[in-house]
Amino acid sequence: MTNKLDLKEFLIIEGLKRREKEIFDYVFNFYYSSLCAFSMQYIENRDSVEDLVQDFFVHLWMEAPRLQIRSSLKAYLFTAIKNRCLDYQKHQKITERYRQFILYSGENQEDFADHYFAESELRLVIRSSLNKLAPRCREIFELSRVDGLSNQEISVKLNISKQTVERQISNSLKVLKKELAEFLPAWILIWLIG
Amino acid sequence: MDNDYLNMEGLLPGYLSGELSGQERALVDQWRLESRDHENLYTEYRKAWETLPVCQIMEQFNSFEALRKVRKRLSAHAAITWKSQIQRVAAIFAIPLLIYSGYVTFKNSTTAKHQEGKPLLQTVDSRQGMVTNFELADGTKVWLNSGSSLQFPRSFAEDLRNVKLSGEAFFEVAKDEKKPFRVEAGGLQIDVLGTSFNVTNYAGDKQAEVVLVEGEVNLFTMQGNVKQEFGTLSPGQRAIYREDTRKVISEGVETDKYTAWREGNLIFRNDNMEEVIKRLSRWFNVEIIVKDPDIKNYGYKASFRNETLTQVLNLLKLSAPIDYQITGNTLMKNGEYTKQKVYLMKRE
Repeated sequence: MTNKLDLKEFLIIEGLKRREKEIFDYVFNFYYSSLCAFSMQYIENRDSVEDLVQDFFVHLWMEAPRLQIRSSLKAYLFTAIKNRCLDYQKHQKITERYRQFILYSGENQEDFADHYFAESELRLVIRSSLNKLAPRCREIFELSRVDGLSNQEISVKLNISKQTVERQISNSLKVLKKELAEFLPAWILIWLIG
Repeated sequence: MDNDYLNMEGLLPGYLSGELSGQERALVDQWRLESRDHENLYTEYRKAWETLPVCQIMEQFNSFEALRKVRKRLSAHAAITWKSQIQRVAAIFAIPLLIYSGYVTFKNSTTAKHQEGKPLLQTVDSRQGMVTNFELADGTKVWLNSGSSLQFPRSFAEDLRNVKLSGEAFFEVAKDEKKPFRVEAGGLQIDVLGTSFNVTNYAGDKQAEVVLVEGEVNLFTMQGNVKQEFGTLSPGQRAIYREDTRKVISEGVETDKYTAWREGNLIFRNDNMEEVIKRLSRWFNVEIIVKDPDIKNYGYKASFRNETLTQVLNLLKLSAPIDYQITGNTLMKNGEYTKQKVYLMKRE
């Protein structure tokens, strides 16, 4: 990490401690969707996941002056969420028997009118690495990982050899993994502790 | 890299998608077990493999809605005041990207009126210090710069896709041979079929401009009801329309300097000080006051990515004999804070 990054992180943490609205909002928007996605490994219910992450941020604000971050901000956030997820799972076992008494409240009406979400670090990295790929290569990679097609299905769809498909995917993975390499140390931490 | 690895690389896409034969699968399994280096390498590929699906999961979550809920909960707590304190540290977050996904639907706006027979208009505003990216109903992608707004009908007319811009935006227009896409930027009107370009129309500037990255655009000037054709713009060209002369001039440019803001980059290439001041003040939302008029003639060449205001000023200081002074913001009677002020002086 360069000095520049350390300074930014330091100022963010200081800003959180001082309850600066802009900084709190920034941290929230930046990390919210990845913290939620991360929690989905432990909790299958989306609403519960969102409640959990929101609870954490409420707590973060309330306890702000007493905030102590020894590692990086990212590691702190993901560790805290992970612990809450594990607690939740424990608690779930106890309330399991009461579930049958809770009536399902029906479909949540999603408000598509204001569907903003902030770009998080991971998306930025992915976006920039996908931009580095040749259009054809990117197309193949997205057919595989976004649309979920098998390599065989892609080769049929685009009328190219399966070998070509696999080569292109291999290229994409190489580019992506290179971009993620700098990002990976923290991300590894997340998956390892996950 | 040994031959072994090269062979494995070719097999990994199939391995990860589960399409390898039993025999090939065993080969990779074996290779993974051979050493920790192999296993680590596999893990890196595996992570790259998993990132896009993870992204898709992330997209389900709306952080702005969630933040509103959190705010509500916290404001119930007596000790909290939500008074905005834009300190100098806010300048660090030059351009955090806001992504607006899916179709734009009608927002509860008092400025949007619905009259019989007239199309239902809506506006998307990009807040100060943010870039907003969203898609229109026809698939056109829009990036709205800090402090800009775009007005457009909820559904486009039969024969025309018409939008009105105040501020700065970059468009990637979805191709539609039958329906031209029209951007109204003050007195400048831009017609395209499908292409990528940047438009600037800031209220204070008394001019509008277009920078074309790809494709072709037709330019017109609009004065009251008089529409005049200027001509066609080719990629790599910038056209500037001045309100006072009502004329359009065009020049060749390096387009990335004008479109870099989308990614949070600020690039100056032989820009004079006036241009630099204008863009910096918008970018950091500060008021820049030049105390020595001579400074305005200095030229600059620099590229910044998410630097803080002071870092940028220090870098500028290195390249020209200028000095600066930043004042904090003051609390006004209405409870709001004034913008930070930056004074630029000649250095003796």
